[in-house]
Amino acid sequence: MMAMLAVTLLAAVLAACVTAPPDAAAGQTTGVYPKRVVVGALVSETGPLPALFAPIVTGARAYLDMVNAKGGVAGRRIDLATTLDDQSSPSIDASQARTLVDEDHVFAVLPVATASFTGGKFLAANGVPTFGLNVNPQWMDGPSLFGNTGSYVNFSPSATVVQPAFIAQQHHARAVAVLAYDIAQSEEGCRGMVNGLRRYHVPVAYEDLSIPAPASDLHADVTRMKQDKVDMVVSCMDLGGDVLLSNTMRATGMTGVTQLWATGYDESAIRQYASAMQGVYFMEPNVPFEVTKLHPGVYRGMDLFEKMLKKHFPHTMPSETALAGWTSAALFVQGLRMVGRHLTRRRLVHAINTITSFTAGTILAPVDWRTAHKSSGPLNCSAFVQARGETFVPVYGTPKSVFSCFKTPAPPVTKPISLLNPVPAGVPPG
Amino acid sequence: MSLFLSYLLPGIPYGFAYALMAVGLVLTYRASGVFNLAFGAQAYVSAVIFSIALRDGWPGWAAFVVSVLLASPAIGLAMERLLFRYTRTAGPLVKLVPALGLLIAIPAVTQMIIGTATRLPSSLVLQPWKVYFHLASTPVSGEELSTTVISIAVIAAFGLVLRSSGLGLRMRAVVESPRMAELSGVRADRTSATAWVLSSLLAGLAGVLLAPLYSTVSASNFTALLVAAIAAAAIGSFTSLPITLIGAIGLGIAQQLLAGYLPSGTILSSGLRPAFPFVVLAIALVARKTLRQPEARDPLASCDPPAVAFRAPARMTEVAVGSRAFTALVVGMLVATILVLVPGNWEFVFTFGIVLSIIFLSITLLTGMGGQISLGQAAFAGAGAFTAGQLAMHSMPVLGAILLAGVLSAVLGAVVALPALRLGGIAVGLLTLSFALLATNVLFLYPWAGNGATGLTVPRPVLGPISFAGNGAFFWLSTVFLVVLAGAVKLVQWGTTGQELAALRGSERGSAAVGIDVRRLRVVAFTLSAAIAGIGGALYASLEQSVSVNDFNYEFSLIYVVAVAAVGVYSVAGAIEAGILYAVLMQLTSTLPSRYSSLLALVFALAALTYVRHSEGVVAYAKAWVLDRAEQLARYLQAPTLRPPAEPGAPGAPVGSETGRAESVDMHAAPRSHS
Amino acid sequence: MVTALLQTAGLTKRFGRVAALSEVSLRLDAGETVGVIGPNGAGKTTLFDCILGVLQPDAGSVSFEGTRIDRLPVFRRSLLGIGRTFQRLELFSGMTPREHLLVTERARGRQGALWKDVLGMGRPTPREKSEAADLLDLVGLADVADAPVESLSLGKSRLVELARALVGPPKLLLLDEPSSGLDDAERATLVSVLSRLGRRRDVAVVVVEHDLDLVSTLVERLVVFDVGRVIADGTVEAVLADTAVRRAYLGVGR
Repeated sequence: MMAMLAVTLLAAVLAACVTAPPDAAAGQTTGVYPKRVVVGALVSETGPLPALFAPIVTGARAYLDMVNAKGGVAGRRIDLATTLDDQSSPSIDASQARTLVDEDHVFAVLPVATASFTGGKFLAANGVPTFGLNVNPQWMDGPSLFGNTGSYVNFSPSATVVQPAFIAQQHHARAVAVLAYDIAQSEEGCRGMVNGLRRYHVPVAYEDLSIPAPASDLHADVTRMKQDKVDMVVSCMDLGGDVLLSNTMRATGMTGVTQLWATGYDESAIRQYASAMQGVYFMEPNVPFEVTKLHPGVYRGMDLFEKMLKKHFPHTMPSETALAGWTSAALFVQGLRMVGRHLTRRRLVHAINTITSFTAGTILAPVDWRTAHKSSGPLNCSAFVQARGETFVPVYGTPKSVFSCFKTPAPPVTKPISLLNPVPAGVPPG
Repeated sequence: MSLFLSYLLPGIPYGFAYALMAVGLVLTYRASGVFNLAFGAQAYVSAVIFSIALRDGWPGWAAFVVSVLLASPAIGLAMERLLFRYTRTAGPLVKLVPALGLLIAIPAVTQMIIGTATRLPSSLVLQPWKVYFHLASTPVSGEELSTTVISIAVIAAFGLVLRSSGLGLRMRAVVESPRMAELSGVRADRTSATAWVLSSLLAGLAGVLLAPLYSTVSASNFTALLVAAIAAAAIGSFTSLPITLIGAIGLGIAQQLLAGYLPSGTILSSGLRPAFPFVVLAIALVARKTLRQPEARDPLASCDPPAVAFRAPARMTEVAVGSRAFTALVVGMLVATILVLVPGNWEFVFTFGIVLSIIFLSITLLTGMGGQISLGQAAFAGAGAFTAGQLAMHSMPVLGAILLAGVLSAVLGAVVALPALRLGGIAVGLLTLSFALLATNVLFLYPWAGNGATGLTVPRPVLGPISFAGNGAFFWLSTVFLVVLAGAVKLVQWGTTGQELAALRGSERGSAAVGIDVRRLRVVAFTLSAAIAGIGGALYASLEQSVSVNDFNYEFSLIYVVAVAAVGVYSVAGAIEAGILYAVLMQLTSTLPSRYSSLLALVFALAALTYVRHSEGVVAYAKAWVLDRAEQLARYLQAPTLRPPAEPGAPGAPVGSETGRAESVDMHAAPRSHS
Repeated sequence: MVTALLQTAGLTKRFGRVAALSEVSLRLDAGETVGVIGPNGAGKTTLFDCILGVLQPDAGSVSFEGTRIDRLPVFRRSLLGIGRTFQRLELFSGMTPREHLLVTERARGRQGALWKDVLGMGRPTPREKSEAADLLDLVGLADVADAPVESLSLGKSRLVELARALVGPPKLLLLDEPSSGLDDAERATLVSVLSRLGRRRDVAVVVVEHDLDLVSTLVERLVVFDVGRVIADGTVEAVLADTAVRRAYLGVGR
């Protein structure tokens, strides 16, 4: 009666036995072999916002390909063997994390870019070194999880993000609207911005942080914003939602509004949606891509990223997420170099957590990994860019220092601090 | 006033797009009795093709011709020719399951072949976002203008054709009664095919027109469009095209007004808008008498043979015993294998399969045994999961929380059953679907319920000194739950309630006429089924240790029904097989590239298409086939013992063996039924 | 005066502007056998539907054994002792004739408690099984008792419905065109079953039938319907002689 079921099960069990790697010998660190280290990726490749997460693998691959082409680290190639899709579901995320560790026997999980990161708990509990895009609070779950800009994510209701207030002050905004999806990262991210705006007495006239993703119709929101005479919009939606927002504003005759988008700083995006993106501001935790053309040779890490991306993935445009993959891989490789031949998870995690100023080779504002699991550090730095024509232009900085840094939680400082005496990072000379 | 207008006006293009699809729904429903849920998928395909063609630099008219005039009608024609022309006299489930399967399969296939269209689609003729003129100081954009004008033109042309031409007359005749129409020389098949082609064209057009209004071209957006169209069709009682049209436009406008006047930034305002059409649908279903038994009533319907329902044939004792022994052997081996060999994650996968089997069991009970279509089982499972989560959060022992979750789900099931009592067939399915939509869009988002996308955490249970924290221990716990629940369902099936449910499935009028309290029985079925789903959902939560609304999205309800129907909806074994297969396939496909991420759903959806021919399910069909062969073999082996002792030294004895075999066939042919 | 088994008073049912029944008042005594005839659309099936509660009449009342039953749901009226067959078959597809009778036995005996099922106590009793077997013999379906009803001919299907309606046994049996689709042998079975019932004075039978020959041999009394009204009611001979009947019904092509 249940014979078919049983046969299916048996087949599945056999399949499982066959797929177990034969060289997972006892006494060895999982995923570490004489000539290679195996890592696996965990990415929301499908779900409501795939474009936001998927490019991280390309960025990481570009870095790893570059390192492998030079012989790897300590005699081992880094093998990004599997990429699992969590379909943007919390439960699938958790089970995929387990699959990577228990079944694919990876040494580290790299890169991670997921809508929710429920697998983080498991990875932290097992001390698995994990690197990726820190948009989920789970990155704070343990010392083996390394977010691309530090692991600290303040999702508490009192979190404060000051940058929108800075832009609002620069533009003398009188009524700001804040829009976000009803997805945790989006909603919490924008809540911090609302707090920041209020802290600096910028009037928040309209607030909708529970738009269902993906956005399908923003007419009602825009009409209300128009009623409230909004002259600046901060959005934590994805590119599609932001473009829809901008277009809907245009279609309802709302013009001359200052916009700050959390995502969408992406060259291919501006080529497609140039008209919707005109004048929009973006705030970045890394130096803008444009520095490679505007100030070649100054930010060598970024030059290298663009070069390698072009070399290994000629069809991929540089994007924030791809860059997050690149810097995540850079941190992993730097850790591997510090540990050397005798590689274990514990030693790698310990080594990385002694790094005091990680910039991925002049790409990021410095991250102090001694404290970056628990706090954001004394300074909060962003590079601002504005969309003009079919390109982005860095604003509010100098060629030598594109970052504008703010003391947290003090009022904005106007004098940018310099970043250009980088700590020697793990980037081999290009 | 101008504020009111500026909320109202953007609703009009939506309303017209709903109207296009709703008109298509009504036409196919009247022409072939099929409630074609796949129109959502057809709209999606057209939108994807259109935007990809534009991206690749095609001229607009060529993109339009290929996506709207060719692709969607071709799919519609294929559906009519290959599937739905055979279901005209079938029951509502047979008509629904393939349509559901297609709703899931078509986007999956599209994604695999074409990929996803990430680029925002642009409008058909005008510049979509440009303000062309002001109406009472409200700006009107190109998108709004083109959608409205094109829709009006198409609907007017449609109405003209239906009213004046011979085609319209024929179509209306077939709509009234296909048999009567055939008697008067109308080729009903051809006319119904025409209806399918034309309505598919409308669906495709709706997709292409509406696509620019979305931020991405995703299948879920077009499912939402379908949902609104269903509600509009319900307002028109699935009959009247003018009322449907008015209802659709009213819906579009009402949605915008709701979004405008409800307080912003609340769960109610963000959730009610997508769920609003189904609130309307639920009200329409309960309030409008004509919708209660929406199955078309053809005066000549009694000329058709009654729909054939599946029934497991009685087996020869030897074969039955043999198959049971074989099953026991394999299951035993399997358990042993799992105990000894299975690596960590597969243990988890099988546990997931077991838990899923429990949820699927609720479909077996309700739909397989009782013939009640429910498209909201995932919502009952979610209610169980979140109840368990909330109780566990308030420091209740998890095992107790799981049982209480079953109780609360049961109550919810009874509450949903009450308005469903007066409804029949597909209408019950639509009502439960509207419940699922309300649950996932509103109810589950509240912190006291499911806590939105963040969700809840549910620990693994502990019973005295025994902890089920490990995957192995939890596997056994879920197995115990499955065995107990499956056993209970079996006992119910064999008992009076099960027999009465079978009678209800066969004929509701007949059941009432022999003295079965049909209302009580339906409430019992819904309550039991929801309880089982709730326990399954709670176990799922404890297995995963964290659950959110995304795990119980209404789309899962659809996939669940398709999966169970594809594997075998009439037997307990079918639910278990479907659960395990689902989990195993999910694990096997999880490592594929993202383009193939819907492969799992696709496998079940394609299997569901066979439902038209094999309503018992593909696995059950395969089993029956194997057992048939086994029976033949057994008979062949038995044959010599029945023949009279042959002369010594004549081993061939052709005549004797022929008679012997014939005799034995006769002996067993009588009790066997389906030959 | 004895209480009537069934009494309808002023029964009216409209579908839109068409009156399927208007002011129908009928009285039926225990054990009586009545034939109902009339052209298509005369309201015969609507009458059955109103008696059993499938349809709610717009006006008028239905009493059974002296009690008003208008407000009762279908299954309660059935449990009072009204059995019925349908013009358009309402069989339990997927079940065998035997299962049809067993589930009816269980339902009539109000045996549906869920807890009994879960304890394995919901199976048919030996008495119920033997009653079902007897009924199957009576209607001549013993040889197909365990075949699914879909595999049966229309005639045999009607006999299954007949047997199902006989479980109980009922005090009132409503038969809606029982002879349509029956072959000669099945027809003979039908006649013998019905005439046996006619001789038993505890079951009243109302039979809607187009076949006048059949119906006149079976019943004592004929009621003629036309456009929702009773135009004649009396003994078979008297009604067949009625001119109004001839005009409305028999005159047309017969």
